[in-house]
Amino acid sequence: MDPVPPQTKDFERLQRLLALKRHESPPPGFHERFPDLVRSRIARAEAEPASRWRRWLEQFSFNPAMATAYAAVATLLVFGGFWLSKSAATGNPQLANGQTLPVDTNQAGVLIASNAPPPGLFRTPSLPVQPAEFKR
Amino acid sequence: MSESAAAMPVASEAPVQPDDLTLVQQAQAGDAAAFDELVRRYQRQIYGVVYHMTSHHEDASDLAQEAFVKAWQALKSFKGDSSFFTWIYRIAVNRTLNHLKTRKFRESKHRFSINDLDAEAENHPDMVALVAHNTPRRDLALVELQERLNEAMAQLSENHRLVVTLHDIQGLPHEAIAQIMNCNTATVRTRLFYARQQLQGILSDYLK
Repeated sequence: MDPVPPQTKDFERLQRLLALKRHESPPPGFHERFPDLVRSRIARAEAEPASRWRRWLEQFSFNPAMATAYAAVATLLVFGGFWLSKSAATGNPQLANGQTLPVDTNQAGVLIASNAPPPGLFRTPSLPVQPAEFKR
Repeated sequence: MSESAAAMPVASEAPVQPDDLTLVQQAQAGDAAAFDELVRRYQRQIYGVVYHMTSHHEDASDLAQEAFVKAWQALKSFKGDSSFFTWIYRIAVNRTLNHLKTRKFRESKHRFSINDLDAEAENHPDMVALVAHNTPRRDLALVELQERLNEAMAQLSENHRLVVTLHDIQGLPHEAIAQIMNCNTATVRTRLFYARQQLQGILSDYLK
């Protein structure tokens, strides 16, 4: 079913008015000169070839589908990267919240991954305390 | 013998013009004269669509030339899936839409550079009727009417302006417009309906 109601009669006057724009014509001789203008532009373009980057951009004006495909891939990459970074940040919560088992640090081959100093490093020796005396 | 002899003068009087596909194939092989013929064949329509979209002669001239230059450069990639007519129209339309988008950023208010009306316009019955009887001011000049038409067109969105240009000004059928705009005919009809409705509101003084 056509979504547009047929109202051609209503637009008849408007169409006649718009058709008057067909009488707008370029300066005399323009269309006679036009092929020469195109030819000289082509010659100039061939003398100074566009850069590879520019040619790559230009191809989108001929093929909008390719431009859409590139845009879709770029969007997917951005969202994929964002999603990956989010999942990496919140991906293994058990490491932070999990209970750690006590490890015998005296056992050979056990590495201590902690910011705490190894046991005994800052332990001050217990010295016998002597009461102070005033000099007489 | 007599049949072929009779056919000969007709053929020599009206030389058969090569079709677009033949010219495209010749141009693809490097024949610049064949491409020249394609330019001559479609320059008026291409210039027309760009001009009615931009309401600016210099921009239209520049963009139309650019479209043909790009067509020449990309001619190798033309596979004939669509007609050359549709293909060159697409190039011109895409470049014009890009130009209009960038112009929007550059200039807040665009000035027109409208072409003169041709000699036929003054005597056109519709034009005579509009200027003489159906306008709020009887002394309205043709140029003023022309400016109002262009201003009204400029108020439409690019897609709506394009569909009005292609259908109501250039007289292309819905199917051809759908191919050029890369959409279906229902979309063309819908856009045309809303564009006309909007124009009718803007130009109501002239449509009473």
